[in-house]
Amino acid sequence: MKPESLAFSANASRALLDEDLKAALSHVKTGFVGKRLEAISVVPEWQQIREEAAALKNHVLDNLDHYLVAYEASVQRNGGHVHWASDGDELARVVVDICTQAGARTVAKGKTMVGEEADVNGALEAAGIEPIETDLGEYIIQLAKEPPSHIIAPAVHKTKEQVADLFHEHHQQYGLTERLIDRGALVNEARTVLREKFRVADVGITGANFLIAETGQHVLVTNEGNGDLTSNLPRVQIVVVGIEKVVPTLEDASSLLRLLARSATGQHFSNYTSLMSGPKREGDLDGPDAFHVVLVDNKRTEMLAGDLKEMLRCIRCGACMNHCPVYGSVGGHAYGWVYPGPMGSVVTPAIIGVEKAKDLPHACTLNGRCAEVCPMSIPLPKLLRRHRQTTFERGLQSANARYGLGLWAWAASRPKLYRGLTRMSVSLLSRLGRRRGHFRRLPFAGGWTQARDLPAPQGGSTFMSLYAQQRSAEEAGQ
Amino acid sequence: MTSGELAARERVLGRISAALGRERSIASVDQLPADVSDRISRHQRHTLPTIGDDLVGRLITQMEAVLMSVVRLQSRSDVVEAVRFYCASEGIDGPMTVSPALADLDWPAETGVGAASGVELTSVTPCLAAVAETGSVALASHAATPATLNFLPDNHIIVLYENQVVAHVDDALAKMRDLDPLPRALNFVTGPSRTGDIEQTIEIGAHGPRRMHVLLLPGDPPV
Ligand code: SF4
Repeated sequence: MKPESLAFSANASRALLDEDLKAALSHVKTGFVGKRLEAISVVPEWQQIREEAAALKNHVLDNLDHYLVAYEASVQRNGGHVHWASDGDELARVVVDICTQAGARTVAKGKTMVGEEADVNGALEAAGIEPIETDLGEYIIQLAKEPPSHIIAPAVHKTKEQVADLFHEHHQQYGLTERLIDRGALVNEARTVLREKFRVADVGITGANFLIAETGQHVLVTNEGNGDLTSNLPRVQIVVVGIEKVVPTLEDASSLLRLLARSATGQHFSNYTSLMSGPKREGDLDGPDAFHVVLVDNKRTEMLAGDLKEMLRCIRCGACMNHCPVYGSVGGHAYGWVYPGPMGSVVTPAIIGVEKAKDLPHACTLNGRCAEVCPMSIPLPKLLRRHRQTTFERGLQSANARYGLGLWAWAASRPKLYRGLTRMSVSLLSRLGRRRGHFRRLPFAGGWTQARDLPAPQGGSTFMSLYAQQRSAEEAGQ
Repeated sequence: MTSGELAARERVLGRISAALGRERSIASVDQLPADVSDRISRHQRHTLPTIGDDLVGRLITQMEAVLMSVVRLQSRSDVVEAVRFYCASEGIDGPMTVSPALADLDWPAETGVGAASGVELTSVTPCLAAVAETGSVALASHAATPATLNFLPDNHIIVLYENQVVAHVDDALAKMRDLDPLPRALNFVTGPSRTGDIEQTIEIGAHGPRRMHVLLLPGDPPV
């Protein structure tokens, strides 16, 4: 996918005015946030499980090469093939090669974020092979020719009316000519169309949530079961996965699974959690004849070497974006690449380069909710600040921000002047805003007021004047 | 691996070891450092959620919470009649396929035995274990238990024995670890297929079964 993260500000401004998007995003709160809390509240051991998981992942990262070599050997023992790709282009090439050698014409795809990083679909199409997304959300956005806007719910930005229009447009070719609007009917329609696609697909491609060094199995988690159909029906199976996903044992995977389902969707366990490795065994009546895994670096080793290492603990649960006020207002597309929200603002600049995504680390209020809910205790605000520092050091900020900050610094280093200025503006704002208590629009503050109202100051005091009052009151009381 | 891919392997492993401050990476699994191979073979469990002693009771509660129905049967010879009764009461009328592992039962003549063909409405399968922690059935693929029966039919009926009920996911995984060879697939299924991809509203029957029904028998499964 071609990154458009540079256009974050423009994208975000447009998104804020989109009423359909606002309606669609309101479902994130009711759908994910409440259910997560409920699912966690019944596990008193939650904090401990979380701490152990972070320690486990740190241990893996410190021995990453060893566990990958162990995983590779275990896959080979099960009769599978392991491939390596140092970047997205290599991944796309390996996948296309396997498909071409298998004489594939269509490919069924389960959701893979690594595949999105490398635009595997684009590469397959260029080679004359038709990729079909089978996760309902991914299928919807494939029809709409749009990138995903959430890592768990890729089509969360679409209303059911928009889905109805898409299906109506694309499914007439299969004789389904009625425009259905009921959610259940839409799901059923997609099921019918995709069943046929599964039947004819030559290759199935999925991602993986974890790799188990001990057994050579990968773990694939879905609610729909599309990942399992993709893995069981076509004659060739390909798994594409980032190198950071490996864990030592079955028990380690089990512990991370406990965190994943609850953090992602508020379920105790996802509907389908499957461990797979290798082609069909002797005597098996179903399953693929050939099994391939592609282990992908694509800048993960750079993160490992640098100060973003902690980001590699991420299990892609999406909790950070579900709880992010910025994501909740602008949606995932504004971030301009595969990964949105707080984790996207850290990962995207690390993969595509900070100069191509310099706004993302600033698309954050540093309120810290993301780090609080992250099951892997990733200090997202801290990592975002590291990116901010880099953009600053490389002089990548916008001219406005630079001049604005420069001006502020000039005034702030002159305390008398600064206090005078703030007192003046606060009393002006409080008088102007007395009637409504907030501002819809303010000159020079469009960036703030386009998205939300600015509360008018109560009374005419500044922080400094209140602080001084309090101090003298305390001293008088002593 | 092609020579290009071999080079990619060297490159990625080299970058990792450089990032970790090692001179170079190991070339093969025989050179694993002792602490890493120990860590792999120790099978150390992490903190597990407490779930109480009544495993079967907890299992049934959890299963019902994810829309699986459970009935208790007295003996294996009741299975065929229980399946007929379930299909009749749910209004399911269509082809059925059962796992070869259950072929010894007295099924109606038209019942299929084997992998799913895509036309059957109903499948009946055994399982490896059921997990009280999550309400999942764990299904291990094998010549006698083809995995497609878990995913293609609209209705999935599972035969479960009480002594197959385990406390945690880790226990079911340990049972799988003991199988030789390792099954191609171990599927934990926790309720009928569902999706929240349209407006975050749960709909049942996205791709896999729309109904799941468990027949719970006393004792151990036949060997
Ligand atoms: S950063 Fe944390 S919360 Fe966000 S997706 Fe990754 S694991 Fe989940």
